[in-house]
Amino acid sequence: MPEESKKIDLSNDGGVLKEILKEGTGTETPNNGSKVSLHYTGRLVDGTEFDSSVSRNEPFEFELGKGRVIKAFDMGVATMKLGERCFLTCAPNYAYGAAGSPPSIPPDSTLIFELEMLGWKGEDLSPNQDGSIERTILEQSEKKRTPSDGAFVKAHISGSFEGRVFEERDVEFDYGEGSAINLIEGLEIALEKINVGETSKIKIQSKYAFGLKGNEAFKIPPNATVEYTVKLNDCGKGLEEWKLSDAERIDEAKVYKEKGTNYFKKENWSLAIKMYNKCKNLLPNTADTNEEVKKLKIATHSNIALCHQKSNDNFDAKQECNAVLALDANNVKALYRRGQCNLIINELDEALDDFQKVIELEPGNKAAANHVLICKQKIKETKDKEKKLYANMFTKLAAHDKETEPIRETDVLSKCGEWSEEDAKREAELTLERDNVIMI
Amino acid sequence: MEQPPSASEEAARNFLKLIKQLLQEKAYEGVKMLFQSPNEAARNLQHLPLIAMDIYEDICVPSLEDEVNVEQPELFDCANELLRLVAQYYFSLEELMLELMEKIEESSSIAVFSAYMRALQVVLQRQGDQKPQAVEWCLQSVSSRLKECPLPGFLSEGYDEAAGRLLEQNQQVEDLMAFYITIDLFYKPLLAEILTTGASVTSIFRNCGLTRRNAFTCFYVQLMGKPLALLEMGYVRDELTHKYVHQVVKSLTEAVCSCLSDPFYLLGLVEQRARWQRKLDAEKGVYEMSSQNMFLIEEKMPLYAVAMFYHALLVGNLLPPKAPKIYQPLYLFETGLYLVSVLLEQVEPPLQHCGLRLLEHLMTNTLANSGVIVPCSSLQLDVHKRLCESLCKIVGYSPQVSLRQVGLHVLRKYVLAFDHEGKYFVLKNLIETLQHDGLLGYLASMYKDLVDQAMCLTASELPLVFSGKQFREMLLLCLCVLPQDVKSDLLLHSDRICNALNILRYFAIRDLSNDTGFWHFLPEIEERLIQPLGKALDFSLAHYKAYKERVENGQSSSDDALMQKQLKMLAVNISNSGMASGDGLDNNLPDIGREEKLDVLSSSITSLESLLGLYLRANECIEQSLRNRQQQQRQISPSSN
Repeated sequence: MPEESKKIDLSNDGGVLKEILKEGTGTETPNNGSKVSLHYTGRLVDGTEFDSSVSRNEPFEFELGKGRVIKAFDMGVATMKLGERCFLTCAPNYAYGAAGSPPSIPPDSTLIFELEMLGWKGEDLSPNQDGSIERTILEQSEKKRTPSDGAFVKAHISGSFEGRVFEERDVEFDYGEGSAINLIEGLEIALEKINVGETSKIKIQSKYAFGLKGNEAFKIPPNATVEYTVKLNDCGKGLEEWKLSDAERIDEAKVYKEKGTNYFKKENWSLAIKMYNKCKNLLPNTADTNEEVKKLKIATHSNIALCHQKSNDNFDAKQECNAVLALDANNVKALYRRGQCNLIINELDEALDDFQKVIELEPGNKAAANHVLICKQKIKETKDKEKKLYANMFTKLAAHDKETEPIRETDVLSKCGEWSEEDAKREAELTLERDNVIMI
Repeated sequence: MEQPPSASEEAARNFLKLIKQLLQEKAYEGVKMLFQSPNEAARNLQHLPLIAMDIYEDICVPSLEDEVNVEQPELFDCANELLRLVAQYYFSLEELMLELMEKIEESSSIAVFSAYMRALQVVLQRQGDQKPQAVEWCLQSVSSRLKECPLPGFLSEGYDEAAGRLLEQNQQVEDLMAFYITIDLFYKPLLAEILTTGASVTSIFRNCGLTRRNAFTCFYVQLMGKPLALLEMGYVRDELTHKYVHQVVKSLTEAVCSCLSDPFYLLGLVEQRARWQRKLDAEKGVYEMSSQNMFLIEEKMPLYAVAMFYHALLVGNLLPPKAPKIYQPLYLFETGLYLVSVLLEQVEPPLQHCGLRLLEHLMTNTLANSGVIVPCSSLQLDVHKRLCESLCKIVGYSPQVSLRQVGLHVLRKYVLAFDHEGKYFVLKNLIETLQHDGLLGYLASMYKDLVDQAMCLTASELPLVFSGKQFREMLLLCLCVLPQDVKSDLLLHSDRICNALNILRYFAIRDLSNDTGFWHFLPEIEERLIQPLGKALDFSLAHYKAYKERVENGQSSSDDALMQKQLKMLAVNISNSGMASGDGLDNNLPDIGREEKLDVLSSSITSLESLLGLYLRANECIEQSLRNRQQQQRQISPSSN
């Protein structure tokens, strides 16, 4: 049986047999999860063609090993090299089973596919689809669960740069808070699409890894592309907001507030803001009727404002203070903080108003009283500066006016008595020029 | 210094004068001759690049108006033809594109719209594959104009089958269809051109960036969204009459299919879009529109419109014969669920209807015809939860009777599409999370039917989910239906209580040999259902009877709050059955007279009495079965000794 011996049994039970028609180049074959591009033609054993990418004039693309296509196809394509052509003989249980796929494929059909591998690439997980985060699955998992926001994640990660492993560790964290355990952003983005039990290789470009600075401790230079191998061992269920009642929402929001406070204590302002924002978004829209919700909302906005202040983001901090004051117009903390922000961004009058309101509400507030003095002083300084500036400006302008007065165009008029045609034309051109200047 | 006009410029100006002169003299045929007669055309067409701008501004713009179309239709037609020539010869394509975009968006009628669309067609043909961004903007202005078309209000509120059949008799719908048909005529030659030029491209992977072909694909999919999608509620499979709506849908579906080559290609992107939210990050340049794959941008390819495309493709039976057949049915089903969820979450009933039909198709044709049973592991995908939530919302609360009916039918099929374990978990999760009393009762009896089926097949070796611990959990969920124990409002929960009693009676009679373990759990059921329900029934009946007596004696004012509550409940039932006016319910119902009060009370007492009847019957069955079991055991024990 020389013909039979050429056939490779891919399923070990004779269900999927491969016969190579043309050897491919190199030794590599596509990994699971790769996007594969190929041409195929499927025929029944009697030679009837039931499906072909060739007749559609375009290669067929699919993600390998993810159950997108019939089993035999996934198995066969995974063994093909670049440029390889082969026949794949598939028993019904690896194709359309006992039912077939009416009307083109009768029940219990054995199928023969002719395949030609055109190429493959890693799966692009980057938000902009610009190839900055690319995944190749090394070990497939049958499970379909992936981490969602807030889910507790357990994983093993190993990062390498130019073949050198620079970190290897087990990580446990709540999804969305990876930066607290120094997990690079690209890896956290990729983890969202990794199934429990799966091991994948993630290639991450610098903007989602160590950026322009690189990492001294890991000896990663600036703008470096790194590679991580990650195994997602387990993940809990994320927060299922749709299921929550108002009371449950409040409880969950409190959890996130607590998390925010913890990050605040660790001076991790960005994560603290993230957690406080989650807390804020979880709270039901009942601040006008529910005092507890109102208090929580006020506290959250106020804390976010403080975090923004700490990270020198005074405009955002002011917005958060405004949100607090919309809920409670006499909130001393928010007024004081907004005053501070206004002072820094040079809205001095607004700052003075805020501090004065604080004193009105809390006459003994010394810090506010000091700030009122600072504000007044600054306002005075600014006014003095402005005075000087304007005074100089007017003197200069006056001097300038004196200098330019003799050459004014009116002189032409006074001399000539009336405009000549030439004068009129020049005047029109000048006007046009002036208009252009204004337009620009 | 101004240059003196060249001879050709002079000739062109004279030619323009001639056209204007002829138009003034209403010699439209003469104008036609200038371009159609071979001799004249050869001489005249060469002047057009120089005077196209003037023809456009001086003749086309003022003549392509509705007033002219009514009063001087010949002039309108002539200007229309001249505009097409302008589009062929105008030197600056970009400038004319901008003009046409503006005119298309502002066009006041189908006549003006189609005149400018003809010109746009020529311009886009001249543009070819160049500057796809400009092409996209032009197509955008067409979509924008379409959205401006006035629509009858009932389209977004939903309509029944009979109204669906007469849909195209409505003037506004007829006008809308005229726009769609014009657009169809506009893109057909362009599509043919795209497909021929596209064939020469031999890249290994599809280019999903901004290209003319992709811009058109997005345009077609957008067109399948609203308002066209609102007209598809009246779709009847294998209908003999071919409506314009279906012709337009067919034509668009075919266009998308030919652009994509593999019509299922977009399904691969659906999960990416619906399952994982793209996190925007200005610092890293991640914005709504920044994806290099334009099929992933919601504004360019709205997901609900993608769902409508697959609705047309599958439910409308428009799958091209060359479509790939190697996809796994389970993959098509799971990805399709994302689209179904998107449709069910829309507010317009016609779109919800399409969602239900798509789901039914996925279960009947994609799964059942291939003999595929959905494994329980599929439930790890969050989309199932999302789907169940929106589906149950429709089944329980939609004001449209037909939607509720189809929804219930589809929900049943959905549950039955899973393996035993999957069925169990779907039912359990639904019963745990739903609030709708009638639906809860229905699902509980569905579980009972499933156990019954399993018992008929293999009573001695029931699957784990139909016996023992898992059966107990489910049974208690189905039977323990008194949320506030004895104080529960029995009338509010009557549907569920009724179902619970039926299930109780069923297992008491059916499972004498205790295959499910029912008799082990009876003491718990006694404690949590039978005893409190007995008391609650006694209390409630006594209460309502006393209330009725007080009304009869004219001493009922203190009980009016309760009466209001009862009436509200009644009104909610009415609104659920589609009989409400649609204005919503008033919080305060008008005061009712003594007779009406007595009627309400009598009906309440009747409901309670029928519950009591069921309750007594269930108790009787349990007692009888207990006696039978004891007898059986006595018969078995001497022989075993």
